Amino acid sequence: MPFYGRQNSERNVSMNLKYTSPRVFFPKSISEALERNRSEADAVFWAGGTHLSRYTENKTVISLPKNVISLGMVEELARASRSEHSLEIGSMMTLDRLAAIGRNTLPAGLYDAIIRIGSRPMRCRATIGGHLAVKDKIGDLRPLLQLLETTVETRSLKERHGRRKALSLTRKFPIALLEGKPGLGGGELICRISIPTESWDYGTYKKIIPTEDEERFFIFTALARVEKEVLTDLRMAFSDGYTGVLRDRDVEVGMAGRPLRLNTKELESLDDAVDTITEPWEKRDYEKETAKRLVRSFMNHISR
Amino acid sequence: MIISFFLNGNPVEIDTMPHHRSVDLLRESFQIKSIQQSCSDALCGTCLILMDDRPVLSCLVPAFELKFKDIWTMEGISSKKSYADIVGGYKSAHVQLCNSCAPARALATEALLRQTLRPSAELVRETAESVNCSCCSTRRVMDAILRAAKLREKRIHES
Ligand SMILES: Cc1cc2nc3c(=O)[nH]c(=O)nc-3n(C[C@H](O)[C@H](O)[C@H](O)COP(=O)(O)OP(=O)(O)OC[C@H]3O[C@@H](n4cnc5c(N)ncnc54)[C@H](O)[C@@H]3O)c2cc1C
Ligand code: FES
Ligand code: FES
Repeated sequence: MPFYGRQNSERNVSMNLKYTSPRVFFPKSISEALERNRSEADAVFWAGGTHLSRYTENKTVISLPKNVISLGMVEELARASRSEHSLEIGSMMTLDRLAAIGRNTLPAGLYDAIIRIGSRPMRCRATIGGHLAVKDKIGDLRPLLQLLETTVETRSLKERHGRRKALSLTRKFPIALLEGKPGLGGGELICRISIPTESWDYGTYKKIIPTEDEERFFIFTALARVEKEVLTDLRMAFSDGYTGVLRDRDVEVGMAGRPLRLNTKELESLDDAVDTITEPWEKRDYEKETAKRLVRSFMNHISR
Repeated sequence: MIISFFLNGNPVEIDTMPHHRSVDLLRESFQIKSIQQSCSDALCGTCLILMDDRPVLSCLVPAFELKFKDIWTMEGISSKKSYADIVGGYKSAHVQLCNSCAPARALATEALLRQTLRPSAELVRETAESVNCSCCSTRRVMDAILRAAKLREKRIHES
């Protein structure tokens, strides 16, 4: 016999005035979640809710959209497996679990990146799918996942004219395409994320917060392979969370095959390249200079 | 919305709004006064509870998320004999906690001990940093957590 908690009805009424109570759905499968999203106008998918439930000033209730589709009971989204070349994870995997399963298997830098996101209790709720789906900000894991050539698998329903049933569409694409257009479509559900686990000799992830303002930051991340003191593969990216994941594939390709350590001229031209890559960070001299220093320091590290 | 869940090992049920913050719901409807709501933004950690054995911040958990979950708070874990391991660990490391942080730290430690008794240094650090406290050094709290893990291991071997 359960114990019944007491709810104060007067408080309920006053809470309701400003924040309308949402309708919450608990689908058990991906197709049920998609169907629900199609039938309920303005519904949102709810994963860990750490983004959706932030920024409400009211201490008693959380401001939520009118229709919420909780993904917590969709088992297919919680699965994870490992193949020879990649880690396949369901979008509902929490960042905490990803860090735990990947501590020894995740590519260099990724573990460090995960455990720098919020606190552990927050990571026990936040999911990788939610992290990638947030639209107004680029999550900290995106730049490195992009360098690793992570792919995302989504599903959505497309209306068929004149028919009652909608067509189910599956899309698999590089994570870089989450940015810009078409990006993640409305009603498109991130189902799986595939992270290649091929090995890199060097990997780095740095998040620089120059002032006390946590919103002003930038990330530098890089991967490198070195064979007999020759740089055979280099990838590097920058992000300030808003102006896109900044990267220049031509620069990276141009660096491959260079003997290490780089000479002064090569380092200077790399400085120029970093200047160009970070051009969208207008008037942020500190960030641009630090970015160059970080790249030089990485080059130094891989030349040892 | 009627929500059934387990609270400190007992089945409970409540008719509430789905977007009610769990921290408020637990405090006001279930008299769980050990959790505190300070920042309401996942920053301080004082609203920490265990949900299916994981530490989570109840200020960011709406009531509907409690459905069918196994929730533990200080009121529950402190009634168990094994709680003495946590008290012992903090005491022997000479870590004194204030009333706001103590329940959250105890729960974060309990979550870790339920997960593993031989935690990695990173996991111990993450546990110590779960609560944003201005007075205790992380290193001392880490020491306390490791001592608690040893005491728990001893208890399990002896039982
Ligand atoms: C205290 C705190 C600190 C933080 N610090 C950092 C930080 O340092 N760096 C950083 O990068 N981020 C940080 N974040 C943001 C955090 O990474 C995101 O809030 C989190 O990853 C979102 O995941 P979620 O599962 O909670 O998403 P939710 O809040 O559930 O959803 C977020 C958005 O994604 C959509 N969505 C969720 N799942 C899917 C899916 N499978 N398919 C399609 N759409 C989906 C939702 O509809 C919603 O629009 C922080 C957040 C908090 C609360
Ligand atoms: S009230 Fe501060 S983390 Fe929840
Ligand atoms: S123990 Fe509470 S602020 Fe440090």
